[in-house]
Amino acid sequence: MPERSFEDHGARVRARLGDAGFWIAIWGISAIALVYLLLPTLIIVGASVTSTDFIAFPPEGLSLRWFTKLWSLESVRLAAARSLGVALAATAIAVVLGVAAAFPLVRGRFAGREVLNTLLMSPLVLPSLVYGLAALIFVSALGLQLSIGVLVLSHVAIIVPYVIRTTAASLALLDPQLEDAARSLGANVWRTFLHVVLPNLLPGIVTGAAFAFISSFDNLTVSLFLAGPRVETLPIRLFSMIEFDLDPSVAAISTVLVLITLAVVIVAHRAVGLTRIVRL
Amino acid sequence: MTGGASMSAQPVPDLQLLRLTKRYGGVLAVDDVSLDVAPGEFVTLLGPSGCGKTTLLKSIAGFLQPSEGQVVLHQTVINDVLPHLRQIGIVFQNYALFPHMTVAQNIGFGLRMRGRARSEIDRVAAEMLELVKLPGLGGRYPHQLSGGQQQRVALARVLAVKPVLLLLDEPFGALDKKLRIEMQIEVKQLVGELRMTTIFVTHDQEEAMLMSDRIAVMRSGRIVQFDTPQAIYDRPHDLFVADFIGASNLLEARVLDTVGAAARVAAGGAELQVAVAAGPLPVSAGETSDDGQAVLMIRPENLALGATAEMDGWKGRVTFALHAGPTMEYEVAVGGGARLRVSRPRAGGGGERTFAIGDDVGVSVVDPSSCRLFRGSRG
Repeated sequence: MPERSFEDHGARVRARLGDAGFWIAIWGISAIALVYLLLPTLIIVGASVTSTDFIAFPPEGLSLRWFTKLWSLESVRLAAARSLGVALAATAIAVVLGVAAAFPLVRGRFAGREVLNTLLMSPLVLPSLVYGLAALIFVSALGLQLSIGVLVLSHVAIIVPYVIRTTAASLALLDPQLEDAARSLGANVWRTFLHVVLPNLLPGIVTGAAFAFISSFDNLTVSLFLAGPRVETLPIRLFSMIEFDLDPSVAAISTVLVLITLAVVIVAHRAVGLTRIVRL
Repeated sequence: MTGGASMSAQPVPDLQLLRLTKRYGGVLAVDDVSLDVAPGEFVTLLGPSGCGKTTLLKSIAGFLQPSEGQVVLHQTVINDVLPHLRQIGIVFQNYALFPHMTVAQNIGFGLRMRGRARSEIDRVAAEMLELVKLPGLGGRYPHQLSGGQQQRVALARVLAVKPVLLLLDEPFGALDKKLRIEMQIEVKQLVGELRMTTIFVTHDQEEAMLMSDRIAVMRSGRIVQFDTPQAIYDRPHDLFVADFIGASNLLEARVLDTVGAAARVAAGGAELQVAVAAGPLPVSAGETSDDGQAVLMIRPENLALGATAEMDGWKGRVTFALHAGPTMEYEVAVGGGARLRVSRPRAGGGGERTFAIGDDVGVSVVDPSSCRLFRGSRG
């Protein structure tokens, strides 16, 4: 007589417990991972609202005095404005380059496409310290002065892979017949791109731009090499404050960085989310 | 629905393909194809996948440059005309509606690209929605529509620009069978009323038979036969067409002798007289006696069943009997290992006798002149 496991009550209970164990393990491990990722950030945000003169966690008393102090420091305001400007300019250039580059990488049929794909991802893979040094040597070999322009361009090089990646992913999902349809309806290639291709790539482009913006905004290593002696971005300012006068305003800057990053992610998510609703 | 049956007598064709060839590397996708399509005619490119029909369609639309030959539209060679200037409308298999635009915006897209006024675009979009029986759905997005509705929108979008030629690229492939037949009839009626010259691409021979004024049967980049559905069904040009279009019995046969327009052949253990004069390929006795090979084609509805004693053709046993709605479908094992498919109407009036599996039956040919004889063997 064949063994039939579902006739044995004990076996049924054991099987149920085994399955439950699996889900407990999955949820437990992901909860631990989440706490591990978020806790340091939460600690710095908590420490930034302390009323003490030194970094304290948990904060003693609640106060925004360190944020007020930050705002009063011209060097911080300047650095923040500079970081914002550099990140915006670099993102804008990266979007143009990245979107254009995504096309041959997805639609192109040529030898070495895969190699090129990997190569264009290299700034994501290379240690940014190495890239910073290499870029510095490259710039001085060209005889260029370090300037905001050079800083922006060096940021473009490290953030453009984000835009390429996400745009290429959107493009790979886009039905090429949409373009054929647009062309047969009387749109030339430019208008086909503008009216049909671009709107459908927007979720990918916005996501990539958000990543690109954040990577530029909080970049330290490349900026250290290429910003030049008098030009401070916000991460550089933060870095030297940690070095020279460690007080809760450091935590306050960090909190500002976290909030700006969060804002960018939320805005991008809303934009992409809305587009999704229209598409699906 | 009298659209434009067999207008080959018309002097000036709307579309001409002149010795069109398309090579991919060393592979011939389209091999020296010539084709005329008369104004208002509904022509189907029919063939299995890889036969070159889609390549041909893309060359007409302008998405592909032919390697050789010319595409002539209204007596103008358009090889060098960019796709967006050709005024050729296409309905794609997956409809290719713009997902980020409403139905009305999709339909208005062509006119918008032509710089027409907002008011005109709105008016035409409403008209087109009326035409394809979707009034009031202009504000929806494509993903909110069913497959059949998307199909209608795709058609409306194309018709809105008043194309000089309509291309349909397997447009019914994604629909379920019932909806497919409805849409086939509707599309056929619509393009008929508009007297729209249409080229239809499909691998579905039933669909082709149902819709076309003429069918170009394609194989390996070539047009094997170009004729009306009836002619292709009744007088297939070769074994491939005979096998591809409709159901047929293809029997290994040997020609015993030919007398004038008639041939006496042996097939499946019986001898019968078939007419060969009307056929494209009369096989003479001498010709086939070398290898003795010929193939006899008999449509299942051209065979009759009866009691063994009454029939003058094959004797055999029913191995399969199936009620298929309007007909009874039989398979009968006869001599030489051959099996014959027989299709008989089930209409009550005639009171035709039905048979069951295991019955001994006689099978005879209803109309010998409708049989066809081809050179060669089935392999």
